[in-house]
Amino acid sequence: MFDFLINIFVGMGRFIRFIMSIMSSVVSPYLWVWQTVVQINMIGVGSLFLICIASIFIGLVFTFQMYMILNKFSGLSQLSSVVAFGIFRELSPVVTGLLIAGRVGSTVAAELSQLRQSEQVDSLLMWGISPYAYLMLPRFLAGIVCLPVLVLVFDAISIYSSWAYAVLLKGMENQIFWNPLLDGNVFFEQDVLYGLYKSMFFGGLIISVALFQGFYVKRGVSGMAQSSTKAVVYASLGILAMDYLLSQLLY
Amino acid sequence: MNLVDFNVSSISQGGNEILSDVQFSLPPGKSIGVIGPSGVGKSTILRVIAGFHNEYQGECKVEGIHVSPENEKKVRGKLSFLFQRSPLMEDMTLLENLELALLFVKIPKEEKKESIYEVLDRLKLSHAMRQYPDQLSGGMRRRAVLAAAILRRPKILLCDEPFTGQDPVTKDDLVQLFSLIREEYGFSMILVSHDVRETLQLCDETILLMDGKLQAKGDKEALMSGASDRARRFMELGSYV
Repeated sequence: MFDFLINIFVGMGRFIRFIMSIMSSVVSPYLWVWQTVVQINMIGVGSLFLICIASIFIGLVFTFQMYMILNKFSGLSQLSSVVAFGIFRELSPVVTGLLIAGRVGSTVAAELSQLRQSEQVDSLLMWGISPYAYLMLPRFLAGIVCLPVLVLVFDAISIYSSWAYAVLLKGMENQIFWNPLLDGNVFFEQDVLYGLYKSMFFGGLIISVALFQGFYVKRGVSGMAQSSTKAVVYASLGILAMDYLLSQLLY
Repeated sequence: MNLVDFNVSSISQGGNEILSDVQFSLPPGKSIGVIGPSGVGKSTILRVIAGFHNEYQGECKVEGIHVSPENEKKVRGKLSFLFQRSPLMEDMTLLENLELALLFVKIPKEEKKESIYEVLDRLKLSHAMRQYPDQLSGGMRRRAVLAAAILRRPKILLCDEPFTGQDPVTKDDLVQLFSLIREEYGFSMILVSHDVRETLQLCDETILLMDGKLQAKGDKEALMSGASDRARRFMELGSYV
C-alpha cells in the first residue's frame, strides 16, 4: 500500500515536471508555430465530423428525455432552457472531451511512442532540437485551442437538433422553443463561456496525458498498445474528475 | 588529445549491470569497431557517449568534456549518430529532413543549401530529395540516414548497426560507399555491429564484448588469441570466414 502511494506521487511528480518542460519550451517559437498550425488541422479540423455527428444525436436524445419529463409537469415552455443548461454546462464539454480523448489521445500517444521507439526523438536531440518544442508543445497548444472551438460547434448543432426534435417532430411552436433562450434564461458567461473554459482544461489534459504516455513508452509493440490505452483511460477519468472540480469552482 | 576516452567500470539498465570494465580510446582520424552478440550492450556504449544513457559508473569524455546532463549540448555538437532505425521524420521530404538537421547549425542559408545538395549528390540521392522516407527503398533509406548524419560535418560518427537488414549486395555497396565517404569527410568513428567481417573491414581497431565484459581488443589475430572459446566461436561463426 505504501509503495503504491509512493508510486502515485512519483508518477505525478514526473507528470508535472513533464508539463513544465513542455511549457518552458515556448521560448523557441520558430520550432513550434508552424507545427501548431499543422496540429490544429489534425486535432481540430480532423475531429469536426465526429463532433457534428455526436452533437446531433446528443441533442436529439437529451431533448427526447426532457420532453417526456417536462410534458408530465406541463413545463414544456422551459424545454429549450433545460436542454441548453444541460448541454452548454456539462454534456458538450464532457462528451467532446471524451470523444477527443478517444480519437486524438490514442493517436498522439501512438505517434509519440512510435517517434520514441524509432529513435526520431533521439535524432532531434542530436540535431540540437528540443523535442518538447518541436513535437510536444504544438500538440499541447492545439489541444487547448481546438477543444473550445469544437465545444462551440457541439453547442450550436445540438441546440438545432433539439429544435428539430421539438418543433419539427413534436409540433412545438417555434416561438415557445426560442423565446426562453433569447429572453436571457441562458446566460452567455455562466453557461456558454464556463463550458468553454472547462474544455480548454480538458484539451490540455487529454494531450498532456497522451504525450506523457507516448514519451515514457515501454519497448515493443505491446508497449505502444499500452501507452495508447492508458492515454485514453487516464484522460477520460481525468476529464470526469476535473469536470466536477471545475464545476465546483466556476458555478 | 583523444576524441573519446571511455573508461567505465559498470553500465546498468533498469538496475541490472549489463557491462563491466570497458576501456577504450578513440584517437583523431581513427575508427573503432565494437562487436558482440545481440543484447550484450554494444548500443548502450554509444548511448553513453551521446549522453542518452546515464546509468553508469566511471568516466566518459568526448574531446576532454565529461559526458553529463550539463554538458549534453557541447558533447552532441561534436557527434553525429547513425541510428539503427530510420530517424527521418515521415511527414517530411528528404530535403526537409536534411534542412531540419541543419536548423541549429550557424552557417548562412545559402551555405546550408550547398552542403545539402553536395551530400545528396555524393550519396546519389539528388533525384529522391522531394520524396518522403516511406517512398525510399531500404538502401536509399540507409543512405538518407547517412546523409543526415554526415551533413553536420561531425568530428565523431557513432554508428549503431548501420547496415542491418540489407540484402548482401546492397550491404556490400553501402559498406564500400561508407568507406569512401569516411575517407573524404575525415571523421573518426565508433561502429557497433554483430557482423565481424564488416567491422574488421571498416575499423582500425576492434573490441569484442561478450558475457558482460570486454573480451579482447585489437586486430583479427589479437581478437582470436585474446578471446575465450565462446568468443572465438562467435568470431568464427560471424560472417568473417
